[in-house]
Amino acid sequence: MGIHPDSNPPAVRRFSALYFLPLALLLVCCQHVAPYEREYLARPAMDVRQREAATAGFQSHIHEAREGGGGSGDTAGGGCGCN
Amino acid sequence: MRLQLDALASLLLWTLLGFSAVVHADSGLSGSLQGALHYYYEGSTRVFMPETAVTVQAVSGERASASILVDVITSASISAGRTEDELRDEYRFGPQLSVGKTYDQGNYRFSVDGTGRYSTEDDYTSASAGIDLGLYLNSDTRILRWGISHIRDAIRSNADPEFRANLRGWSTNLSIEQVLNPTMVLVLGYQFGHHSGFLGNPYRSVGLEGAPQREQPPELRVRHGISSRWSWYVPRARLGIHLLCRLAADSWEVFSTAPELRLYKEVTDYLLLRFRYRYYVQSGASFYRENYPFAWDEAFTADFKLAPFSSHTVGLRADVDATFLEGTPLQWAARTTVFLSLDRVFSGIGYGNQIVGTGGGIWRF
Repeated sequence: MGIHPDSNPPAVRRFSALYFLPLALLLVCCQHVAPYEREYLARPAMDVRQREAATAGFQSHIHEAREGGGGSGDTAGGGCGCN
Repeated sequence: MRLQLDALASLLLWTLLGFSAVVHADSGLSGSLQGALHYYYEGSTRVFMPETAVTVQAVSGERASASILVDVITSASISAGRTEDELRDEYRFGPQLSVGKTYDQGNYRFSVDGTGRYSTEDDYTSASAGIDLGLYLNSDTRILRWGISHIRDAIRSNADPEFRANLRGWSTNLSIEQVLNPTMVLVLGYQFGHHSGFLGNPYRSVGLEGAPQREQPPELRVRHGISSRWSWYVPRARLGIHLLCRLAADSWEVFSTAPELRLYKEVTDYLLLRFRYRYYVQSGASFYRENYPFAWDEAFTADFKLAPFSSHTVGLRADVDATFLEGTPLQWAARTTVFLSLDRVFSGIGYGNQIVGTGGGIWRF
């Protein structure tokens, strides 16, 4: 008795609705913000890109190796992606 | 050969760092040196991955970075197709080099970056190259990014000296980052990937017609993904709330979504704590079966990650900025950040639950 990969599980469809929320925010909340008004955006709790750069690549590699939809497919691994 | 590559990459890295250390005082160069040790654990696989990277940038906009990682993979047996855990080690070596420049045009800026990467184990080599462009508008409140990359892999099998296969791939991504107001930023992105060739694992086999056969998934996979990251800073609580979502679909009929919540709490001026929760769910590939019929003339695989499953990830991370060392004899270390990250993945996938950890530091100069 094999698993029948019947299209999307309900959870996939349910969470798909989340993607409309950011788009609505972009349309409704956007306003001009002068450089001197961006103090909060430079706080450590917001500006995390460089801080997390060292772990982002590793996380991406794991997602690629352990999730079917986990990445772009460009993670090195000889196609096997076993670890 | 491996020693030569190690030496070459090390020389490159330290030359870049040495160059920056010598001249940065006069030329306005700045940058960072990072070191990290990654750890991954699941029932059949343990991975230790030391990684080091250096980044240098000039006030005139030029920048360069180089990184090296060395995986030490222990006991990768189940994911390599065996049914019992078996202790064995393998090594992955991967240098990466990036160069770029940002051009300031007055009312806007744009950036160009090129990246090359090489990765090898004893049974594969992988090389990729890519270009990333950025356009910074409205005093950097709107940033458009576009990137494209190409990857070429040569795959072999230590279990079958006759086996030779290739993988070719293109991927591109497009994103927009928009400051919404003084406390909110939104990033929306789209990713596309086109990969062809051998897309399986040469060590995994499936029992077909009474005999084990090397898995053979389709030789073409086209992938689409959309992603978003909404970040909101709550000043009174000194809290950053980040909501991330990713939705992906591909020609193998794997549909997935991954909502994630990250909370960043500035406990003090020196200590930043992060909590994360991520939910992931996917459907199975159209050709995936737990057991294949005796006669099966379509693609087949033994890869658990192509089955329908879901997972939950919880994680903690702590960052300590050593700015409290300013004015002390250890002032040279005041621009250092040390961090420790630990994630636990509760997964319905056949590989089992996972532990993912990283510890390291960043020294800025």
